[in-house]
Amino acid sequence: MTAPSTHHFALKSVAFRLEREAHWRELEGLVERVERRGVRELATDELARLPELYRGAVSSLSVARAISLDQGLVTYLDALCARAYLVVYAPRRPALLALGDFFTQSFPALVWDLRRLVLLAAVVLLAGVATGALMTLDDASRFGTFVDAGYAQERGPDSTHDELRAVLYDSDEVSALGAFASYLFAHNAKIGLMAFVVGLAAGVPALLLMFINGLTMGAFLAIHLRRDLGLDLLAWLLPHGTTELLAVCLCGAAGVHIGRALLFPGRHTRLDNLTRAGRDAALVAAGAIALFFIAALLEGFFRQLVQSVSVRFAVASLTAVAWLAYFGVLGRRASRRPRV
Amino acid sequence: MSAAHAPLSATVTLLTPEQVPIRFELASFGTRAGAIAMDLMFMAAVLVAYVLGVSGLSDLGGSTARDLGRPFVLLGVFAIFNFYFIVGELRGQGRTPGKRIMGIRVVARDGGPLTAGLVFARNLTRDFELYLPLQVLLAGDAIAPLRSPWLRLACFAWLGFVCLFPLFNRRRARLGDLLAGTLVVNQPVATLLPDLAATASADGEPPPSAQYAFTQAQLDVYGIHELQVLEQVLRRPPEQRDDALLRSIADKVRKKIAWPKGDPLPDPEAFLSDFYTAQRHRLEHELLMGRRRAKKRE
Repeated sequence: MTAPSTHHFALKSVAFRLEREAHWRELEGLVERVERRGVRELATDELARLPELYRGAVSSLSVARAISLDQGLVTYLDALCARAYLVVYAPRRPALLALGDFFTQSFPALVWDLRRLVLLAAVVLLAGVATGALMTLDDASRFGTFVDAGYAQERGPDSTHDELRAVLYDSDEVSALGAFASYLFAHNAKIGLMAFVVGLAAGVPALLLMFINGLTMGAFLAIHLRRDLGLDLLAWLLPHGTTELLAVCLCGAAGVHIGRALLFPGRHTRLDNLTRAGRDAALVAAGAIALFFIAALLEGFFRQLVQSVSVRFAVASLTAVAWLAYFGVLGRRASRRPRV
Repeated sequence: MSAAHAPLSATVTLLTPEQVPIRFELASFGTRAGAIAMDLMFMAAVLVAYVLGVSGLSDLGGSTARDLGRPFVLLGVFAIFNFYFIVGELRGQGRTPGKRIMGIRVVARDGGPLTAGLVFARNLTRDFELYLPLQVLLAGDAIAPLRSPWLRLACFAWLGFVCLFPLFNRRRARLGDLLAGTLVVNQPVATLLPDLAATASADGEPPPSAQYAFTQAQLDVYGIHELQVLEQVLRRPPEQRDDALLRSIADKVRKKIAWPKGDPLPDPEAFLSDFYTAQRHRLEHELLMGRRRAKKRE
């Protein structure tokens, strides 16, 4: 038998812990304060000390995993590092600045990157419009198939010229308009979000949604064309419609982007690719909500106040140019810069 | 024994930017459902307060104010429904009030910071994952296409799939989590327990003297796994650590390491504690020499 093993000198892992415990405790205190009351709670010198202590703790964790068999210690360090890591790597950008960055850089850049898909969504939408219009012109009774009764608001193939005209040039008092605009916004934004989410099903439903949207519009166009009000309808539709349809197309493109990531994962795994695409698509959809909001404001307030066809067209082209510049110039430039 | 002490919850390892893996416990489905229930209650409270506040204010000031009030109510309701979770997670670093109470939080799967993009991506899908199922459950009859029983069945199947999605994947991710690349984990709690093998405690108490000495051969029987099981037993609070249990463990150890047979031990806890210290000493020494003995020798 060998001699009894000696353990009168301290264990290395014990000495290791004694040496560093004070730092861990200090870090724990700082982290706890940030968790409770936010990072502003810390003084400047404490703030400077935080990453230093964090790196110390992380290296302690690596060492402890290698040399210490004290499970209590490793568990503690694991949790401490996890907490400190969440505090140290929390995004620090103030919300308003981040929002500014979003609308001046990431959003237009993302849309520029997805321009082909936006175009695709627009083409599908226009195909829907053409189909809806041609089919309704061919047989006016199809109007009911394409347009939901609630949405049509009493308008239909049997409406006379004057009835249709009354809706297009109706100047309701301003009071009800606000409510109408916000209702439209909530409604459209919801449809937009839906287009984004259904992208998860391989993107096909997103395009389908575009097409169906187009059918409704086409049917409307047809009943107005039959009463010689085609131009007036466009003047009524386009001032807010350019923005709104663009937003719809953006949501559709976002949905297709997700679907494409799932169908054609390329070099990455499907899951990784979905995540990559999902983030971008979500940001595009979030930006599109802002567009819906602008469209609703235009629709609610501007349309009913201005009755002249030429002014309506002028505003429509102005918004179109503005969006083209925003995405085509700002977005293109931002897309070339490295992303934050 | 090992099965009883294995961690009950699934864990996930994230790689920090320093390339150190850190382990997190995934939040359970029940905890998450609880957090959502709480958040929905808070949201309802905010909604009611907002709507009552705005309509109260607009009622005070004539008909124009009342007309102005309506859009504010509609916009506010939209904003609260769609941005409650987003704002909550952005402000609370991945913790909405409900999550905070339940002790869970959102983290990025790749170990990076939880940026606004991720928060948006995981929450924009809620319309579809949470509100739609709720609507169908609460007011399924009001939705016209659902009057057909087949459609209704299909709808329930689909919604059930979406709602229970976290139960069917390793990372317990819901669809929004998959899309954003996020995970929901338990907020780590760190308590530094005293080192059982410390020869001198931090508050200057006299070192507990070792009553029992072990030979190297005796210490070469058990491995790391048994050492850590013993650690768990010794760390139990006194009320869960009755003498009979300690005695039976001590007897097992004595038999295994061929400790001289004799009378029952006067103090099994002291014996086990000394054995733990000596064993850890031995195994850590071996570890430094590059020999890792994971389990006992059979």
